[in-house]
Amino acid sequence: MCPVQPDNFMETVLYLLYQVAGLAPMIPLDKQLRPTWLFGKTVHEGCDRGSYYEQGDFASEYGSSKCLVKLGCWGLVVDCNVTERGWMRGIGGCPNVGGICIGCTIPGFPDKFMPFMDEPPGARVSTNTIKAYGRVIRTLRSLTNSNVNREPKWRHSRPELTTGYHPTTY
Amino acid sequence: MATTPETVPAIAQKKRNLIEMNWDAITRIVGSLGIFAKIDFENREVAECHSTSSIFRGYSIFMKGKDPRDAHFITSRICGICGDNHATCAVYAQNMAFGVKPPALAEWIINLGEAAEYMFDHNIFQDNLVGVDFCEQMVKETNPGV
Repeated sequence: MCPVQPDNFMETVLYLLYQVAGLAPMIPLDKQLRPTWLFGKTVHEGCDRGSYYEQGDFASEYGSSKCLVKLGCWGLVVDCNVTERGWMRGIGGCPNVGGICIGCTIPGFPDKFMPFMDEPPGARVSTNTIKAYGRVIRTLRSLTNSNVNREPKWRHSRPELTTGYHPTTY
Repeated sequence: MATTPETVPAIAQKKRNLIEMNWDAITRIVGSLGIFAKIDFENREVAECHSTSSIFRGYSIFMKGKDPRDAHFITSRICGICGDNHATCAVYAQNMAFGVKPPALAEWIINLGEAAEYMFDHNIFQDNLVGVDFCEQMVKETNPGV
């Protein structure tokens, strides 16, 4: 099977050594006996592409930098810190680099998640919901974005110094 | 690559002094990986090279009934060192099954991926697995007490 994520492995070994030496309390484990500080968050929560999901922006083919859920990514519901931690020296993490999450840290892998390359069941409902919200939020954000990208009036080549800082709270 | 020529024709007409060297089984690799090579030491060239893995791993059994698109995900999980080779072979098998003829650039991408994994393999095998065996001899000579 795959090698474990090396930092996760060393952290766990170090914790257990501390525990054996009596310097640390019982290692915090979840119901599946995984260390909670490593598996307490989902792939989605640490994913570089998570904000694309929030804006309802989904990739329809490989090579895109958008959210991969339509291509079969299970990261929304899988407990794993690989997107946050990366695979080697903080670089990588399956969905960050364009690979779909196939749920390899979850009991029932792989049979529960096959066929991998189909959209997860239930994702259609959630993605359609988020699409409606995402369209609105994307429009609003693009308006604000073009607004904040404009050069402000108080920056000019005239001799007097003007400022845009007008505090209202004191 | 999908196909390899049996011999290298470049200096085939010249008199060769081929020395047969076999490594079977290679230590610290599960699957009894064996390498059979004919090496031309004078011209610094490997004339022929074959590999085998004689332990039954059961691909044909555990892949039965699976979605063929999942082949590279599943087969590559069999090894922590050389997952890429299994993935690449599965991709070639998929291409053959679906009748896909990838462009030359796709072959470059696969080879680049293989090259990247080659560096990864080399570190894992050389430094973490077989390195221990080399260290044993060194430590035995320098620190017999350990």
